[in-house]
Parts: sequence; C-alpha cells; structure tokens
Amino acid sequence: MYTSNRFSLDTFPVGCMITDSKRRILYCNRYLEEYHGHSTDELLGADLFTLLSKASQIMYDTYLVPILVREKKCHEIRLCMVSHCNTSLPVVVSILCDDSANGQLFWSISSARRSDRLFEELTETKQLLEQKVSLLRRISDTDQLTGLPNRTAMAKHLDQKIIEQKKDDMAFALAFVDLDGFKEVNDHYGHQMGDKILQLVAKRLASNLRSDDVIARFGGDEFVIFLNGRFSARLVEESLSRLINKLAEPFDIDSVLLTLSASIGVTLYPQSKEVEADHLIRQADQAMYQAKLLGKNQICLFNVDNEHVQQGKQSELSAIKAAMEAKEFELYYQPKINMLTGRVLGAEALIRWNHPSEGLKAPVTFLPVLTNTSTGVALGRWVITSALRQLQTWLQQGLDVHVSVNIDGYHLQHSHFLHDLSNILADFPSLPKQRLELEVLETSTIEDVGHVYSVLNACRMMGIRISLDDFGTGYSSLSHLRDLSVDTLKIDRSFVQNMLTSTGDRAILKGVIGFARAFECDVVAEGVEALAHSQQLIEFGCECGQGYFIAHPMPAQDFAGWVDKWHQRGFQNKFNRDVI
Amino acid sequence: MLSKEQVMIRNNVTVMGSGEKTLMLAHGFGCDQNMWQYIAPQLKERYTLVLFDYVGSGHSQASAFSESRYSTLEGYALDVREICEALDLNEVHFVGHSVSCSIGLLASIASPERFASQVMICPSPCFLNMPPDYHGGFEKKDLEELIDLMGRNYMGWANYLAPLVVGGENSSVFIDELSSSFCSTDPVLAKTFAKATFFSDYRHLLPQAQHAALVLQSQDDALANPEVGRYIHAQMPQSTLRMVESKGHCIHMTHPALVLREIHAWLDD
Repeated sequence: MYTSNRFSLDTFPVGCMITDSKRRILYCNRYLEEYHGHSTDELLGADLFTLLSKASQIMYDTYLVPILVREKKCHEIRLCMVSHCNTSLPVVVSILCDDSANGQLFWSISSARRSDRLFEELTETKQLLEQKVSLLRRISDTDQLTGLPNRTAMAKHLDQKIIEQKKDDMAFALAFVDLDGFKEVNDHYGHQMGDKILQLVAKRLASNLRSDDVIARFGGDEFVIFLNGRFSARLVEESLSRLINKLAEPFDIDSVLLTLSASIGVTLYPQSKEVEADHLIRQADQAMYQAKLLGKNQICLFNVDNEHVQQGKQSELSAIKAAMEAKEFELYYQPKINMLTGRVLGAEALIRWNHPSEGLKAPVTFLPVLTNTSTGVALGRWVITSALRQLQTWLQQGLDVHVSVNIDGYHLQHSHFLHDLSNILADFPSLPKQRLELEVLETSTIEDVGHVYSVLNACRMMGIRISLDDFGTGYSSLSHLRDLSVDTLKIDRSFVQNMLTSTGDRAILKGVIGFARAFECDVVAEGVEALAHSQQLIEFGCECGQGYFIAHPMPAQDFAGWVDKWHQRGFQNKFNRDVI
Repeated sequence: MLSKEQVMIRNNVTVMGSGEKTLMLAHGFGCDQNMWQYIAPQLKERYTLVLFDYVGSGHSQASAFSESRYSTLEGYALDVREICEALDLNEVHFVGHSVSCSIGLLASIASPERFASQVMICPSPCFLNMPPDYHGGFEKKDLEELIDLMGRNYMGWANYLAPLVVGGENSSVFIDELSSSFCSTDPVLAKTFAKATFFSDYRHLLPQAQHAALVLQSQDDALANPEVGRYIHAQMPQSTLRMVESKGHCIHMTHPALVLREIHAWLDD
C-alpha cells in the first residue's frame, strides 16, 4: 500500500501549483517547472499573473474569482500561460479553494493541446457544416434543370416581400407563365429536347427581366415571375407582352428551329384585402388558365373583384371532389329503344349525386361549376369507367345493349383525353368498343374545332361510336356534319316536345331526319313523352327514341328487370304492338 | 414601451430592503447579480436595493437579446434607464462594478433626473492602451485572445452548433442548459458583452458626468490599474478617489467589508 508521504507531487505527470488569496505562488511541482521553463526559485512568492497571459488574467478576475469565491472550485478552464521565454502555453486548469488554508488555491494544470485540437476540429467541422447547410439551402431553393429559384424559393421571396410591404409600402406584380403546347413538343421531340427547351426558355425569360425581378420555375413548363414595382393593368400587360414577344422568337436547338408561345396570368400586389403568398400564386395561376381558355398566347389579369365568385366555386368544387371520394355519384341509365320494333337498343348513362343531406341531385345542379376544371375532367373519366364496367356486366349477363356517355367539350379538348380513354379501355380488353358511344353536346364550347375533330376521328378509329347530342340547337350544326363523321344524330327534346303543335318544329324535325339520312347516320329522338310523339317520329322516318313515355332514367340494378318487363308487356302496353 | 412586469422579468429585477435611499447594484462582465451577495445583506439593512441582470447575463430573458442593441454599452444603459422608469426610481445611487461604471455613466447622463450619485467599483472607461496618455492595461491582441479563450471555454457541441442547426439568431433555444450554474451566460451573448466591454472607449463621458462619484480603486488590479483610477478622478468633476487595500478586480466579493465601509461612508456623507 502506498502512502502519500512516500511520494512527492513531483512524480505526477501533471502541473501542480498552490496560490494564496493574494495571488502569490506558494508551490509548483517539477512537472510545471519543466513545462513553463521558470525555475521554482523564480516562481515561489511571485504573482500568479506572471504566469498568465493578459487575456487569462481577465478570465481569472472576471470569471474564475467569482466562481471560486462562491463555489470553491472550478473545472477544466482553458487558459493561456506564458513560458519563461515568453511563448504562449495553452493549458487547462482545475482549481480547488481550501478555506481551511486561508483560501489557498490548489491548481492542477495540464496541456490544452488535445482539447485545442478538438476545438480546431470542431471549428473546422462547424465551417464545413456551415458550407453544407448553405449548399443544402441553395439546393433546396434551386430548380435543378434550369438553375432558377424553385417554388420554395419563390414562396420565401414572396413572404419576405409581403412582410416588407407592411413596412415600406412596396408593390409588385406576380405573373404565372405556362408554355402553350409544350406537351406536344415533348411528345414530338422527346423529353431530352424538351428539357433543353426549358433551359433556353428559362435563360431567355431571366435575361429579359430587371435585376430586382425574380423568376422561378414551378415545375413542368410553368414559370412564376415576381416583377418588382407598382404596376397599372396597362403597364404590367405591356411589360409581359414584351416578354411574350421575346419568347416568340424562334429557338435553335440542335439545328431545329422551334417557335413557342406562352399564356400568362398576372395579379397585382398589394390588394384591398390582405393576401398571402400562396393565395397570390393561385390568383396568377387562375388568370393563366383564363388566358389558356381565351385562346392561349396572351396575358390575362386576375380580377380580384371576381374572386369571391371564384371562392364560392372553389368550395363547390371541393365538395364535389369529396363526394367523388365518398362514392356519392351514381350513373342512372335511360333506355333507348326502337319505337317501331320495340327492341331495346341501349341506354344513355346520366350522372346523379346521392347527396347526403340534399338527396338525389340532378346534373344541372352541379355540372356547370365543373366546366374547365380538372375535377370536371376527373368526373368525366369516372363516368366513362363506370359506364364501361356496367356495360361489361350487362353483356356478361346476356343483355345485348350499348351504352352512351355524355362528354363535355372541355373534356374532349383536354390534352390527355385520348390517352386517358385508351387507358380506361385497356382495362376492359374483351369489351367490343362499338358498344360505347360518346355523346358530344353540339353546343359545347369547342374552341379548337380542328383538334376536337381529330380526337373524335381517333375515337372512331378505335371503334367507338360518336353521336351529336341536342342536334339542331347549335349554330354550327351543318358545318359540324360536313367536317365530322358521326354515327348518330340525337334530335333535341325541344323540337320533339313542340312537334305536335308547331309546324316550324315539325319542319325542322323532318329536316334533321333528312340530314341524318343524307349523311348516312342513325337518328335518335330525345324527349319522347307521349305515344303521339313516337307515332309522328316514326312517320317522319325516325324510329329510335328515348324519353319519359318509354322510361325514366333508372339505377343500373333496375335496368335488366326493366328490359325483361319491357319485352314481356311494357312495349305492348304503351305502343299497342308486339315486340318484333 | 414595456410594462413594469415585462422589464422586471426581462432583467430579472430583484428589489430588497426598505431604506430611504435607493441603491442600484449593477454587475460587471462575466457574472450576474449574484456577485453582490457578499455586501447586499448588509446594505439592505439601511437602503432599498435594486438588483438586476443585464439582458444576456444571469437569469435575464434571453429572448429579449438583440445583437444590435447590446453590441454597444448604450444598449445596456438603456436597460438601466428602463428599469428606473419601470420602477419609477429617483435619486438613485448607482453602484456599478467594472464596465457597469461606464454603463451607469451613460444612463445618468441620458436621464440625470433619475440619479443622485455614482459608486464606481474598479471602473475602467477603456481597457485598451491608448498611448501616449492612457494606459488601459491591454493591447488589442490581448482582448482578441480573450474572445478566443471565451469561445474555447464554451466549447460544447450543442451550444457551438445549435445556432447553425436551428438556423436563426434566436439564442433563447439553447440558453437553458447554461443558466443553472453560477455566473453562467450564454456564449453568444457573453461574447457580445465582452466585445462591447473590452473594445470600447468611453473616456469622453467622464467630463460630462453630472453627479458626484466615488471611485473605489483596488490597489492591485490588472483589469483596472491605479493609473486608470487616477485618470478617471482627474477627468471627472465631483469625483472622489479612494484607494482600497485590495488585490484583484472583484473586490466586493473578495473584500466585502472594505467595500461596505466605503459605500456607507459615501452615502452617509
């Protein structure tokens, strides 16, 4: 067993020192003597501060003394000693204050080389981390393809500007730019080329902005531009027109010359009500959509006054979306028959909304709001899919029918329509495609007639039948018939309803039936509500009809039963004839 | 303007004693109001004491810290003035230690109506040597080394890296760990105080002093050497210089009896 009196403190590999309350050095061990180069003789009785650097003296007086007075000890404090030859010696000290020995301080002193190395490494790590963090921030704020700021960065910029506006009364315009027909460019030249174009577009847009404007890519072919300054409607339109003109100059990509146009929606800030960044972006986006609808390649200013109307529309759309998820929509089917033979030809699928609180809602109450919306397109897809599924079930049950669905003009014009339709049909591989008929509302707003014709012709090539709905009510009926091959004309109910009393309507009916014959297509009368209607229609040469006299639209599960009854005695009861 | 309660919380203000005369005790760099605990019990027998922590020290409200406000001593002087206003203090005898003497001077020149006198314990209006006439005790490199040393003594991964990770200047999120030990301060805030303290020069204030001042000069003080005490006395009207037989800079902690005697004598006068 060792006892302390057999060993000197000189043997310990650590600096030991005792000082008194007047900072005088009372003891130093050999290790310390060797470490700092002073001889013990020099040090004994000397001021502690002769060993400490000036900075360490301040640390001692302002930091260590208060702690020692109160807590009587401190641990691992980094100080700097001064060697005999005046070099700096980094040390770590721990100190104990012994009140029983008149407040003498017992020091252990060791080299700080190791902790300093750790500190240097920590500092380097911190710098590296700082670089990484700033790199990550930059990456998270940058669009990789174009190098422009991305959506996140633009949102931050707008947030910042909106805060500044509250202080500095600044103003700006926010433009949403969407290239026209970019999908076709991608489809035609491939995505690699498409990416190159986007890079060039980004470059061209950015180079035509002022230094305090900001452009971001939001994804795809969408760009958002922050235009700094107070703009009038006229001024912002002028500025953006210049941009559109710049964009219209041909792009030379791998020796291919391409011309592009863009639709731009723009909104101004500040507004009479407080708006957030997200909201501004939505406004510009909506205005851009409007520019698309108005024929593309143009600028549309967001109308703040109309916004509350739009907001109402938004909530209706949200309700419809929720209803789709909750499977509240259902297809009813209205039979079409040959009024002469009594044969059931098929059924027209008609959408209904089983509203949880309002009951069964007719399409007229919810379809208008869906016009030109992605929800409308989604619901259209659902209608086609559901109708095909039902048709498949009926065919499997041995019901020899076809099913028609109504397609809105905007859905037909949607760039993915054919692609979507092919995908849906692919899910029903065994279904004869001619059993499906698309009813195109003749009065539908069709901006790009040429495009719609090509889509409808493509549908016919697939085997799908096309009918023109409400024929006779549109202003361009005849030109449609001239340019478009259709399988069926559907005579609008308004002519049928008045045919018994109005000679004019009778004349039109005869005319339409004549057109159908001339263009070699079938004809179906809508709105057959009385036996007299059917009799006269047959007389005029229109054998096919649908209407309340024959049957009301009905849930799918009732249809097969209705067909049975119709064949057994329904037709006979109503038309006083047997089914042929 | 902040309410009384807000100021009380922000500066962790403590009021004790009930004497007619009001003493405001202002700690120096590196500590907090705890450093008065060796003279406060005796002082409160005779005077009303107002103790506080500067924002960034002790148990002050770290969220009230602002780099711009507290990077000069004027920011700390504003703390003093706001405490005087919040508590509606008048005829205050301002007892400052070290850098707080300059802070008290700034506050009393800005709001002279609030103050009656200054008790300056180990004051220094400028820690830097300004040759040929002024010898504050330190060269710039000494004080830069001090800032570096402070960094090394606060070397904790979390504290060192937290501002980077949380990505803002909000230091209140990482102050809690430190504030439980005596005289501990947030490293970022302490550095700001250190820079404001050691790199400043407020000698020009001395002739502007409007109140009588007692200068307690420690006989042997590396931070505020006797030459500095004499300089202050020479420059400051209505000042009284008292040499205290002490060694060190925190004499109110190490030599409380001597300091108490001087304060009583000053206030009785």
